[in-house]
Amino acid sequence: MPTLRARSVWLIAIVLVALMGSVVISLLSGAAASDPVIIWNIRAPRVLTAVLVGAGLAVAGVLLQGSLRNPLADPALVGVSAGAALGAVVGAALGLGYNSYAASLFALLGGLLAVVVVVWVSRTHGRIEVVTVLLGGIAITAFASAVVAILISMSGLAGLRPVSFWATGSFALSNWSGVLSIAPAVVIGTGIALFIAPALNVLSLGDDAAFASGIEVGKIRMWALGAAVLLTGAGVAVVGVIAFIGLLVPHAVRLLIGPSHRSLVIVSAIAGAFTVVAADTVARLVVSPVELPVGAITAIVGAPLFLVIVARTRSRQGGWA
Amino acid sequence: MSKDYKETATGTGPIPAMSIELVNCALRTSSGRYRLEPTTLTFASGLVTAVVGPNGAGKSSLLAIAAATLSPTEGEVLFGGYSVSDMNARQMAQSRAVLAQDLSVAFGFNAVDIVSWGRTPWRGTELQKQDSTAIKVALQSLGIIDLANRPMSELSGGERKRVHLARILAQETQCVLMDEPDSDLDLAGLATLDLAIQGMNALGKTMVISSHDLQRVSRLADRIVVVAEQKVVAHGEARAVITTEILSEAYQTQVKVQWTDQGVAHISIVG
Repeated sequence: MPTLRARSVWLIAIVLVALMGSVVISLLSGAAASDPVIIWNIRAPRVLTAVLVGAGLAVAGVLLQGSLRNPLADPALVGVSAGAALGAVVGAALGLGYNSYAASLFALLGGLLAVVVVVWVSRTHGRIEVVTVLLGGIAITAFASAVVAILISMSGLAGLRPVSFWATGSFALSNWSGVLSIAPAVVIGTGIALFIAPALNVLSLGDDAAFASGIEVGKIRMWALGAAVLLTGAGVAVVGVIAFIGLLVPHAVRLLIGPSHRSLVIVSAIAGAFTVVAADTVARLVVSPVELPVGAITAIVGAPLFLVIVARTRSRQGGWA
Repeated sequence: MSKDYKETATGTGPIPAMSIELVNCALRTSSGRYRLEPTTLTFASGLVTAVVGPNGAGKSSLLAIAAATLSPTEGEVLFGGYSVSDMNARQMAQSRAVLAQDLSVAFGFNAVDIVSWGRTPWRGTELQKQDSTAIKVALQSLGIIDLANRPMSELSGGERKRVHLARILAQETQCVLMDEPDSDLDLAGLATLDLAIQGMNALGKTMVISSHDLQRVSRLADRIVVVAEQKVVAHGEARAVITTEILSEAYQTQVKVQWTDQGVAHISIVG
């Protein structure tokens, strides 16, 4: 059996090839397949947005799972995505343009608020409970989505995107300014993830034992959650909520190369990018010219797999802690 | 009082003396009730000190405060004369290793990964060069070389405990604290644990171990601390503390203690 390191290198190569393949297919397919203007002005920013959002969501999933010690964490399931969507809509209601840094900043604030609330309600005796994180996520998502719906109904602003855009995500409105607003967040967030990866490994021991091994647990968790919000919020501001990428991609990668966080971050980033580009291509082409919501595609595949992971995790742990 | 803390990392060689001192340490709940009444005591350098007492008496609180994994609400903890409030997590981890009761590890890490985390506090220091040696020695000492590349989830409870003991050995600290390390171990596991404790003691480490097994503790420990009703009620050499009077009072149960010539206390319940 090849070593894990060799497998990581192989997997990186395979996933990179898959990603490039999916990018090329996505760029060249659809109506007016080879019109350079359409490719450059419409499809290229769309595909690049999908690459960045996919990488960001997958790495955010790694960070949430590692720092909360919770294999079921995902930006959408813990409420970060809905909080970010609410932030972006509030920003738009205040007159900020979409796909701008200012709108992203509002999304980040919304995501941050969500994560602070979830961690606050799920802390007991210095531990963060697996189930409470998800229950808190349900509550926050319901609340934030409701406020989004109300704001959009009430404001009547032509510039506001429809409620369905925020609920299930879409790359249809991607443009170059959106790419520019996501890219720095993904680069910085992934950089932080790589930097704290060794500490996240030790955090698997639990807070007390990790602290006794020399890890500043509170600081590392703050960096991890902050980076997860950055990676999620910047994407949500531009494309809405896309669920399950942050859950499923790190899971699949862990099965193939093991749980060590540095390689997990690298491979998950590439695999997340591939998954979202592929999902968007399917969403765009399968019943063309009608376009399906990309978040619906990821959820239709992701939700059943989530149930499988829940069942597996529960049977391995013998219940919930 | 405490000295100013500077780097105490000393490299290998004989372990310098390091005691753990509690100076007027107390722990109160938010409602003001004591979980540990004000306590001043020294876990002497190079000795094995056992902390015993009834369930809920405050053993775990005392141990966690001594390990600086829990901050007392009053008082100060000193490692080798330095106040822990002047140290960061890494400096503390260069001084003491902790074996907690909860040994669960998230995600599918292998045994050798967990042992290697013991080296965390030495990352970026001179001692990092010895990482691979320290990990290998720790795996060998606990007899788990064969388990190194197995996921923790596949190991038995006793094997997992050995992996964590190896992690603590690899941490190469002067002080080691263990919270009920003998719970849920079978005879073979207990034999391994005793060897590990004696081996670390032979290296001159300062050890603090909580336990319910008074007979084993009488054989292994140089000093005994008895905790009852949220306070330390006795502290001293094993023979002076493991007595009929002190234990009967602490456990609120009439017991009879008989010391053998081999230095083991036999404890039986009267009645």
